[in-house]
Amino acid sequence: MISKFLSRSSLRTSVFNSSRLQNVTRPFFLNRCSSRFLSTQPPKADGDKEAEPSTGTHGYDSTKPRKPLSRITIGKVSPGEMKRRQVTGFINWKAGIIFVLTGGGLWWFFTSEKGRLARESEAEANRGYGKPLIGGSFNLIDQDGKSFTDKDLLGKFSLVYFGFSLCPDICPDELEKMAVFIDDVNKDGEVMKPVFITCDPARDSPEVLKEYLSEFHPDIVGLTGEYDEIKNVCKKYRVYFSTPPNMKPGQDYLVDHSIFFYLMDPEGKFLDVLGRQYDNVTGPPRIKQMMSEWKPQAVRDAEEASKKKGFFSFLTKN
Amino acid sequence: MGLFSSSSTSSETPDLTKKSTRALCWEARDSFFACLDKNNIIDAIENSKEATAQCGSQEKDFEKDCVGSWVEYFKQKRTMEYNKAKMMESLAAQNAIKLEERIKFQEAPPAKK
Repeated sequence: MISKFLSRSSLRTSVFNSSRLQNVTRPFFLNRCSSRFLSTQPPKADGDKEAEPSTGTHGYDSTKPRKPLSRITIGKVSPGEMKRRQVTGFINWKAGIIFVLTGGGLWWFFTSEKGRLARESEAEANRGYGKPLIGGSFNLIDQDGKSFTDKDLLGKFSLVYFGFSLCPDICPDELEKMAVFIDDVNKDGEVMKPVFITCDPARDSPEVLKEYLSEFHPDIVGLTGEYDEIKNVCKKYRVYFSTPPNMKPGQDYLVDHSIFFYLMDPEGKFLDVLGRQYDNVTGPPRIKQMMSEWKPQAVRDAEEASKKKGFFSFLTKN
Repeated sequence: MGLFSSSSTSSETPDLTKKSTRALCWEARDSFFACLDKNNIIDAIENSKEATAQCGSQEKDFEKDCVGSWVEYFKQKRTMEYNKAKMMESLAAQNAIKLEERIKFQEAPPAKK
């Protein structure tokens, strides 16, 4: 076997030898190659060696007996294991578990982190950088005839809805929904104050509101007031409403108004708007999520000041 | 506030701020509309003569249990919803892609339909 190999290699080296005799410069890789193959033959002790000193023998001395190649295995492995390794490589169940756990963990972490940052920046954008885009001061009276201002909304989240008691079908539907939201969000104590502001102060007196709202949920605060005050609060909450002009007393009419729930934070600032696409199932989680991620203005300011936007903020760079 | 107080409203006008009264009104509305459906009348304002001729008794109940503004509103809404459904149908026939209603560009839950 070895002799066969040698004979083949010497066949090749003979070509190199001939080129050497012709004193032709060979590419360096052939140099290295040939030196290895040539080592099976005694080096020529003629002037050739001096002509090409770069062709070294790497410490090989043909006069000394050769050492056989080492046959000691590095890391003893059974033949069965060896075969398995040849087939599957490094893949085994431990590696698989580590791979799945690491991958799953990273995926979960990045997904949740990305979602959190997106919602955070969205809430930040909704706040309008500290300017009260939606909401503001108002001075109304509640269903018991007591004065109620924007200050009474502070300290708790509030869910504000605009409507009127003689609303044919949408307000009752939305108020039913509001009742479900209240029961769900305020399950463990009142964290959110539900407020209904009428767009029809001419007909919705405190007494009317009290009776009307009690059929939906006892916790809803009903607010009414002078027409100009209602107009003011609707303007501040960007609510469109229109009462038909030239109404005579007792005449029957509808008020056209926008249909939104406004989620306001405990500092009286706008947090989120929920349109009609939120139903009994999707509404409460949305509200609770916005609440749990809310931070007081002071905390936000401090974070803004330190400019530490978090290590993964590049995920939501926009 | 006293400007519109109820002295001028007749005792026959139902108080629609109450849940039970609203339910009666909606019931009367539904039976009137069911009758319209049966007679293939969509717009009860435009085809009011036909509607009264075919569903006179239901219409009378509807007007008794609801107030005038609601009657008009529900009739308009019926026409509007019919037109909307028809338009959606024609759009679907043209392979239009339906976009979910949303207010902001964010994950919106599937719209309740």
